[in-house]
Amino acid sequence: MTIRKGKAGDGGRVRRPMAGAGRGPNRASAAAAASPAKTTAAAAKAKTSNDPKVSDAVAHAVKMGYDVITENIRQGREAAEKFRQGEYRLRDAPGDLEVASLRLLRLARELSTTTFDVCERLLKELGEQRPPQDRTAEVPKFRDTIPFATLQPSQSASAAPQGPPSLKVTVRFEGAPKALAHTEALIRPRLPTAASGITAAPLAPSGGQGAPITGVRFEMDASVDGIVAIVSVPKGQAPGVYSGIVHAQVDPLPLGLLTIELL
Amino acid sequence: MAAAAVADVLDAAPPGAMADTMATYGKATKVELDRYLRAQPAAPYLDELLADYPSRGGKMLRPSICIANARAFGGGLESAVRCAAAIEILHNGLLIHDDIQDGSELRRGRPTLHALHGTPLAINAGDAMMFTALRPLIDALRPLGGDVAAQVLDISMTMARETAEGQALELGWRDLNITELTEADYFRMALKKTAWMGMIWPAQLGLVLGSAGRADPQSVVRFGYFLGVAFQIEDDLRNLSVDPGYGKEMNGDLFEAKRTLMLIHVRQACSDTERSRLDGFLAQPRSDRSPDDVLWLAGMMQRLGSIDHARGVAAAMAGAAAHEFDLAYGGLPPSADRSFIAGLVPWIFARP
Repeated sequence: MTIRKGKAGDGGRVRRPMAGAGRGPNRASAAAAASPAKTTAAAAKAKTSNDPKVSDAVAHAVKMGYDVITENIRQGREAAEKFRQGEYRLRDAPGDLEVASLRLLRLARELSTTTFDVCERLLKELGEQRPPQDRTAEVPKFRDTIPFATLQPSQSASAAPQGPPSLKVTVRFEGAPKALAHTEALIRPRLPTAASGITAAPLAPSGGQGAPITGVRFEMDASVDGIVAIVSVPKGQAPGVYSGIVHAQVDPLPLGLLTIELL
Repeated sequence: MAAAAVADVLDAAPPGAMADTMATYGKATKVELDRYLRAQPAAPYLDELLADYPSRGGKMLRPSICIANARAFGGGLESAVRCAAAIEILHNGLLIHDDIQDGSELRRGRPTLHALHGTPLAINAGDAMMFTALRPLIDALRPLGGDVAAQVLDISMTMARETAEGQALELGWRDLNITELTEADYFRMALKKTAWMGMIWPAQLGLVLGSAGRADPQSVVRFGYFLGVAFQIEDDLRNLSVDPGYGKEMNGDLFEAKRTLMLIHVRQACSDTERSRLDGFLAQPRSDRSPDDVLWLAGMMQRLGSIDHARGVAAAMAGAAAHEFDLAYGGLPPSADRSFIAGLVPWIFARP
C-alpha cells in the first residue's frame, strides 16, 4: 500500500509507511492511510474506531493531510518562483545572483570589519598623540608692505595685511636738491587705471604757511615696482612738509596722502 | 554567567527521558530568557507584564525541539539555547495577542494578561515581547555569519506568514460563522496556526544552527506538520475532558464554537434536524450559548463517533509523523537528542 503524495513539492516520490512497524503506537493507522478511501459525509456517520470502515475514513484523513502539506509546499514553491522576479527573498534569487549577493554580503562584512579595525587603530593612535603646540609664531611674515598710506613708517609692516590692497609708489623730485618722501604706498584703485589717470591735489605746506606745490604727476617705470610720483619743486620753495590727497579719475575715493619734506 | 548556568543545568540533568529532557532544556532556556527579559531597567506598566506569562510555566516544547534539533545536527548548546529563548519569548508574545483575539479569560490557570491589566497594556506587552525576541535570536546568529542569518530570516518570515494565515483562518471561520468546512480545511489551519510556529520553525531553527546552514530546513517540514496536526487534534480532544489541563475550561472550545475536527465531523454526520439546531448554536454569540446546548453538542459528538474519529485521525497523523521522522532524521547518527525528537510522537498522547 502506498501513499502518493508528491507533486512539485517532493519530486513525486512515493513513500511507504511501514504498517505495524516502527516506533510509536500509530504506525498501523498511518499505514491505513494507504487506502484511498472515498470518505463522504454519509460514510462518516455512525462510525467508530473499531469499525473496519473507520480505517478508511482515517486513511482518507491522512491522505488529505498529505494533500494539504503537499499543496502548501507547492504553493510555497510557486510563490518563490513568482517573487524570484522581484526582491522577495534572497534565497529565491537565481543561483548565480544568490551566490553573488552572498559574496557581496560577505565582502561587505569583511570590509566593515577591516574598516572598523582601521578606525580602531587610528583612534588609538590619535589618542596617544598630544595636542600640537601653538606654531603661529613660526609662520613667516605674510607680506612686507604697509597696507595704508596713512600708516606711519614706524608701524610694523609685518602685521597681517588689512584693508584694501596697496600700490607701491616711488617719489622722485625735480628741482629740489634736498627732499624726502614720507609716502611709500597708496591704495590701489578699485578699477584699472593708467598712471596718467592718477592725480594729486596741490601739496599744501604743513601749517598753511607758504605756497603749495602744484607740479605733481604720476608715471609708470618698468624699473621699479608700482608707480612713480614726480614732484616738481619750484625754485625758492620754502623748506617744510607738504602733502596733498591723491585721486584716481575713475574712483572718487582718495587713494591716500602724498607727503614730502623739503629740507 | 548565563552560559555557565546553562552548562551546569545540562551537566546536572543529562537528557534521558522525554520529561527530563524537556525539563532540562526548558530550565536552560528559562535562564537565558530571564536574562534577556531583565536586561533593561524595569519600566512601569511593561516589564511586570513581560515576565508574567513566562513565569507561569509551560511545557517548553518549542525550545526543547529547537535545542534537540541543534544538537542532533551537530551544533553547540549556547547558540541553541539563545535561539530557544527567542522562540519562547516570541511564543509568549503571541499568546498575549491570542488571548485578546479569542476573548480568553484564563491562561495556564490564571487570568489572562488583558484581564489583569486591560487590553491596551496587554497588546503593548505582546508587541514588546515579539520585538524583544529578536535580540537573543541575533545574538545566536552573530557567530554563524551572514549566510546562516539569511537562512534563519527566510524560514522565520515564512513562519510568521503561515502563522498569521492560520490565525486569520480560525478567527475568520468563527467571526463569519463559516460552517461548510472539510477536514482538509482543518488540516490546513492546523498546519499554519499550530504546526508551523510550534514544531516546524523550532525544528528548522535548530537544524540550521546545528548544521551551520549546511542542512536543508525544508527536510523537517513534513515531520513537523504531522506532529503538529496530531498535537492539535489531541489538544482539542482533551478540551472535551474533565480536566483539559493548564487551567483551560472544560468544553471551552464548544462554548467558543471552535472549528475542531470533531465539530466538522459531527456536522457532516448528524441529521438535518440536528444540523439545523447546530447551525443555530454556532450562529449565537458566545455569551448566549447555554451549558445545556454545549452538553447536547458534546453528547452528539460522542454518539456519532466524532470523538473516536478524531482519536483515530490523531493516531494516524502521529504515525505519519513517525514515518516522516525516518526520512528527515534517519541519516543522523544515534543520539539522545535524536531519540528525543523521535519520542515526541508518542509523547503527544502521553504528555501530562
